[in-house]
Amino acid sequence: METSSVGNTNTGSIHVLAAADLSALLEAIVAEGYRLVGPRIRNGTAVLDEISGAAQLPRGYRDSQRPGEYRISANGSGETNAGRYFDYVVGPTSVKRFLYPPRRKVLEAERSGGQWKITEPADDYPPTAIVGLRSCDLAAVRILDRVLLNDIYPDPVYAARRKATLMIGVDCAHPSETCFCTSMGGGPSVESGYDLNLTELGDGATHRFLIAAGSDRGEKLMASLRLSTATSDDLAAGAAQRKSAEAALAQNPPMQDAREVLANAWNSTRWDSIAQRCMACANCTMSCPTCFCVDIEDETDLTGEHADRWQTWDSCFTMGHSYVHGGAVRKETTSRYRQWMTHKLSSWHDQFEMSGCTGCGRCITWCPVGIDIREELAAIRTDQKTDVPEAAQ
Amino acid sequence: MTEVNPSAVRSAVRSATLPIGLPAMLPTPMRIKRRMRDTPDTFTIVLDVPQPPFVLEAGQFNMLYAFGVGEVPISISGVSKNGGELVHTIRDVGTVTHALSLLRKDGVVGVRGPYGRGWPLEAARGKDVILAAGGIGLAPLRPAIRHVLDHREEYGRVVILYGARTPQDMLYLPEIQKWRGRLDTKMSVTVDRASRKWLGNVGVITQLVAASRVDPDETIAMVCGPEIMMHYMQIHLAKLGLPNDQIYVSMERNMKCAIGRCGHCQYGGDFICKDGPVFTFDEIADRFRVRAL
Repeated sequence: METSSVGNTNTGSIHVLAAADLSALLEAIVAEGYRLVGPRIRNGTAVLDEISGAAQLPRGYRDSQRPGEYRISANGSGETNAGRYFDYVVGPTSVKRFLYPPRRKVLEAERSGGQWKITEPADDYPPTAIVGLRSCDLAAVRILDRVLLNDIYPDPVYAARRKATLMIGVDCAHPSETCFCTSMGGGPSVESGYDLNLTELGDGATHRFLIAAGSDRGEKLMASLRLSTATSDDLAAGAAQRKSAEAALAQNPPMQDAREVLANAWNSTRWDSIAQRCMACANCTMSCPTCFCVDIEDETDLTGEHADRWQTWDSCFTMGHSYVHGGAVRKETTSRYRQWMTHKLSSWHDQFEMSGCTGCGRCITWCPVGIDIREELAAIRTDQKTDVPEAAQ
Repeated sequence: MTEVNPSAVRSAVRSATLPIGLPAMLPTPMRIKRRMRDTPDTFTIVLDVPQPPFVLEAGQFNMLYAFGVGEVPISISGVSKNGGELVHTIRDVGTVTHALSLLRKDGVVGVRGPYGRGWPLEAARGKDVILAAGGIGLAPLRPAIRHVLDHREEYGRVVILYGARTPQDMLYLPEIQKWRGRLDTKMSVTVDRASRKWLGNVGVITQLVAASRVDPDETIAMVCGPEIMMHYMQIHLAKLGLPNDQIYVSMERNMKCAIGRCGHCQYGGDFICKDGPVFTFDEIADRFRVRAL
């Protein structure tokens, strides 16, 4: 596929970018014709949105995420990180919003007499550089690529957006309590899928970035910047930061057996227990960077002679998702949560030879009742171990 | 970006040609040449294919578009020999099927397809064949029945079983009578209830299975009907001696895109739209009897 030439792993040499030159990097990106997108603080969360330059990036923020809880504040932790850009992790929005938008017009149809004219509206996605993508975001892009590009009927609009997107990664220094990327085989540092990757080091006088290119586009941008070669001290500081982030993630339970555990869990009693807590609000699916379900709906004008068809994000937690003539197949929350979690962690492997989960933790943080997919997997596993097999009864 | 990536095809879509309408899922307008009413809630439309032939595999489906209302997956219940006429039998049960039911001759329907994996007509060659339909399940099975009967010499014993609610609910009556009249085919019909004028079987379709004098080791069964019917059919076919990999069923779930992207038709690890709708029972035995899946 064409996209394999962009954003791939390519361990170019690591350089140092002075913190003050982050704005020069972003200016160089804009000069290449990209719209800039990066994290901004809005409604008390870090969201991905358009930015004009480095000056609009929030600085000195740390977040705290727990099941059903999200807080972000400047210097909230009492640490001195006043100048640092990327000390918080992912918020409720993800890269999916840009590559596979929540709502998009996919068809326009005109009818006059017996004649129909059906056209596909042009997609208005400008070349876009997304700054501050974490390893879990880039893992999500790999998953979306498999689903939407490398399947039997590739999505041409996703393909075009993917190609027009420049990915600027950032290594996570402070994973949150809901992060579990390493349990899913990634992170906390960015390893592939980026055009450029940044590791933010130090603060104040020592504030700097390690910078590496992962594509030709990234190399070209780096060539236009004032950089110095990374010293062994710089590399050691990066490694130490990574080690500390990994240590923060080490408390996570093992999840490598999720596929097998859930493949045999259709009749687990745990689903009923989850359904007593789950509100079927769909927050987990809306914040998930890989949930790809979309609804397709027609709208007409008053004359009924003009119709627009919209593709909008859908969720397996809605009643309509499983509608067939006569009603919904999954009427109860029990079956809907089972569908979501089993798909994400198990049947996704059957469909796409990979897990659908990146370990970003959004489904845990943004669950209004704090259901934790890590805990639920552990509970289902435990139930299976204690269940007496039917044959032995 | 629009070409098919064959390496990614887990269950190969075996049609020689790509579905019409891709990559942007554009429906092709087709004019209704004829419209027939089959039963009080079921009708059949014959569509004029603008660029024949419409190439398909028996058991595949199309997405039919009622202008401004929406699309529904409807199995293809027939195609003319030259591929210039496409036949769909539709039950008026939802918003879109109701809008389609209001169309008459010269009305226009948007079509994209065909999609999915069809009946195993190749695998069944040289073998005995049981074709069992419940209710409107006869519509997706009819192209397979027609194929088998048109190539009768390529198959062993052929048994067709059909169960309907009442004699009035039976689809394609003239054609069924032709099938019943053939001496090289055993066709049995049953209804759930009937008036005393009905001299045929009354009762569930599964009671017809035992009399199928086929060689179970060399038989392919193709079953299409409500899930409860397929559930009991599998039990009775197993009693007859058919292993699950010789029993094929056609599954149904919600579908919005038909190309494996919208996520609605997931059935465990399969997408009904591209991995099905036809599966061997073996492929789905692990989940077929899981409630609300």
